[in-house]
Amino acid sequence: MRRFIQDKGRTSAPQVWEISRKGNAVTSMWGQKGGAMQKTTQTFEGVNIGKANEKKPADVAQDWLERQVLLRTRKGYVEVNTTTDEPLGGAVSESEIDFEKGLPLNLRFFKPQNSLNGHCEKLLRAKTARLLRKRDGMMHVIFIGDGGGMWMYSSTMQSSHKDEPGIPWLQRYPHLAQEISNMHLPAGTVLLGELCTTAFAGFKDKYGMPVDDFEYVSTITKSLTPLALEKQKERGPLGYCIWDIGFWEGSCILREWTADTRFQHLIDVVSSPHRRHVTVPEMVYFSDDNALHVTSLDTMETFIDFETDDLATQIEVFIGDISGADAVAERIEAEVAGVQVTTPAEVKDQLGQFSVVFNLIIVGASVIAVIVGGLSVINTMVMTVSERVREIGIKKAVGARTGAILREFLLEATLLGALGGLIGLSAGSLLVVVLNAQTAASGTTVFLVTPWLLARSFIFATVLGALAGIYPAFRAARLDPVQALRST
Amino acid sequence: MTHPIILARDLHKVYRRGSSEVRAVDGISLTVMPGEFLAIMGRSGSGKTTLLDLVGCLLRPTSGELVLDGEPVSGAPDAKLAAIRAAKVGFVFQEFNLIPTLNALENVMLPLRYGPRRPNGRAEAIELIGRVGLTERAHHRPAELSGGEQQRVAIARALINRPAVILADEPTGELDSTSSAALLAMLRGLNAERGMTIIVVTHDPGVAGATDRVVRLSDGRVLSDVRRGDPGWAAALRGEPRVGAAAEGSGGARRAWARLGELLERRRVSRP
Repeated sequence: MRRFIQDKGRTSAPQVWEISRKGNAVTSMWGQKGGAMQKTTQTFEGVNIGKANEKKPADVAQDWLERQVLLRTRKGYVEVNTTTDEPLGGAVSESEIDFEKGLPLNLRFFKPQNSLNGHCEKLLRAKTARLLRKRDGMMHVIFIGDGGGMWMYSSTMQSSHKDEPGIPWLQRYPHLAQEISNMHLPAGTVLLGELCTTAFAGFKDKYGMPVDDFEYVSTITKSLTPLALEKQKERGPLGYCIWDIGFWEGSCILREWTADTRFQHLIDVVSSPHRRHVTVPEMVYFSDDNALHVTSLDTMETFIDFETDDLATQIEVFIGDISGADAVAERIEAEVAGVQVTTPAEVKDQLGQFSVVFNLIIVGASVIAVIVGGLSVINTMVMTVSERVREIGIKKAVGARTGAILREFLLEATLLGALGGLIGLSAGSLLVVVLNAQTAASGTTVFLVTPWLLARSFIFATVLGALAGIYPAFRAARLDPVQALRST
Repeated sequence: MTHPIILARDLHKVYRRGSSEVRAVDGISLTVMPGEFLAIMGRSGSGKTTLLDLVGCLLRPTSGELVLDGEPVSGAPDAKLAAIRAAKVGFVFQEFNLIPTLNALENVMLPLRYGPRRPNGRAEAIELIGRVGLTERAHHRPAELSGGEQQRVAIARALINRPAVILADEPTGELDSTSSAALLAMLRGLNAERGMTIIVVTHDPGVAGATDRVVRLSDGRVLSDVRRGDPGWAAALRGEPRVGAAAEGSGGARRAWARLGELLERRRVSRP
């Protein structure tokens, strides 16, 4: 890295000062512009003040260089030019990159989560829009240039270039290049590469291609989420997000996705039993400030603009007139691609099948309750009759007819049923309120109490009491008055 | 002309217990005129309680005829018997037989439920409670009353439907002597002041001595039938049979039957 600094020259000729670094050596040259230059070179040692703060010799040298530039500019020098050995600054045109000679650019690879962001930011500011990714030791950079040209780099590719310097990477995978160019990607598009063993088999089937020395094949895709599409509209091609997703079983190689299918796909992948073949989907996203973010679905909540809630897996359609639901469902089925519609009737059927079993259980429990309840009333009343034989005798002695006694005991059983019904209803309603309050948090109330249900239950309990009272009432009414009176 | 309250002719009540027959009442004829105060005496098993149940329409006689205050009882259906009980008979029992869950006033009002409609039945009940001296205790339950008080409630209950006859089965059997005396005085008063016909079943000569007529039973038959002032009165109270009494009684019954025949005849004629 060389930096040129120039004084405005208050006297005759301007002073120039040049500083450059090579490894741990920093060389300064200064003199009058156009004249002879003085030169000094200084070398630096690494600084080790604890492992975390370790500085390599080159870094120390670089720091010193930056400090010198700062000192000079404070003294009135102006920085006029900077050349680098690395293509970090300035536009890179197709012609400058000669793949035949191997990789001229000193690519450095970073782990996505740390230095990649910062590094990519630099790339993006330089409008070269390169993206670097690393996965399982494989690194891929694919760049669509201004002229529609395409570059692809990878760390393994680099090494293979060294082995076979004569063959450009893209030439070894012309089919891949073909697919990519068929995408008609806009300038500045970043593609992410992915490696997948299963993709390999599909690749071979599809293209009949022999696969070279490494058993991985790069698969590439780009996709636009609806959010990305919007951002692209707002801020141009760089503002969209790119989904990077693994492919499986070779079926999805290099397909251009619509936003809808892409989403569906993402869901398929995440929920797929073949997930072990699939890398965890990752998302690369350019946020408003053009910062690059890389995240996985698992950590997407930490993502700035994009929350997992935005990933719609289901759309609920609310219709004003529910009777038109089937028609609307048909239209959606016909007109919207990539969606599967579940109509209310289907939902109802599913629920219905579930309900049948549930209802049978409830009905069974109810029948048992009715039998037990009825027997309880009968038992209670029979007990009552036998306890009150004398009372019945007295009543008969003072002139009560059989019918009157029958009526009294039937009425008592009916009231018993009604009272039991009321108590049961109160307890049941209370239980429903409590249970519903428990489940209200999940948005579902399981039990519903309607006035009609209350009325029916009450009437039912009353009638049950009356029916169960018939037999005991007959027993009471048919008692012989003399025996009843003289009973102990 | 007054007609008899109770007119019984050759009443039989036979219980069958397995193969054996028990003739609880075996051919009793009896006439009781309005305003009589009558004691039925006899040993245990002599049939006095069965006779009372028959007269009180709690039992239907196996054979024989019974007319209660002009209403033929024998052969009447259960409902008719119940109606007669409600309208014409007031029972007083040895064990009081009040309903434990009702207070005194409610017990007195109980027959109103089953008898003929009475618009101011409650007022009458309160009045009756007062007459038996229990106004202060009207809202107490039987368990909170003494035996004498309970029996007075029972008498008020027996009176509430203005019966033709009060049938008391050993009414003093569960009472101490003081209460017994008070109760007897009360019955005496009822008979004297209101002309209430009262039949008391007892084996207590003291109770029988308070009445005007003693009918003594043995083995379901009338052994003697003696009125106060008759020569055999004291003997009857002591339980000594007197030969002539039965004949006199049956003579009275014969006259009464003739009287009944007239009555029924008149009724048949008056009915359209």
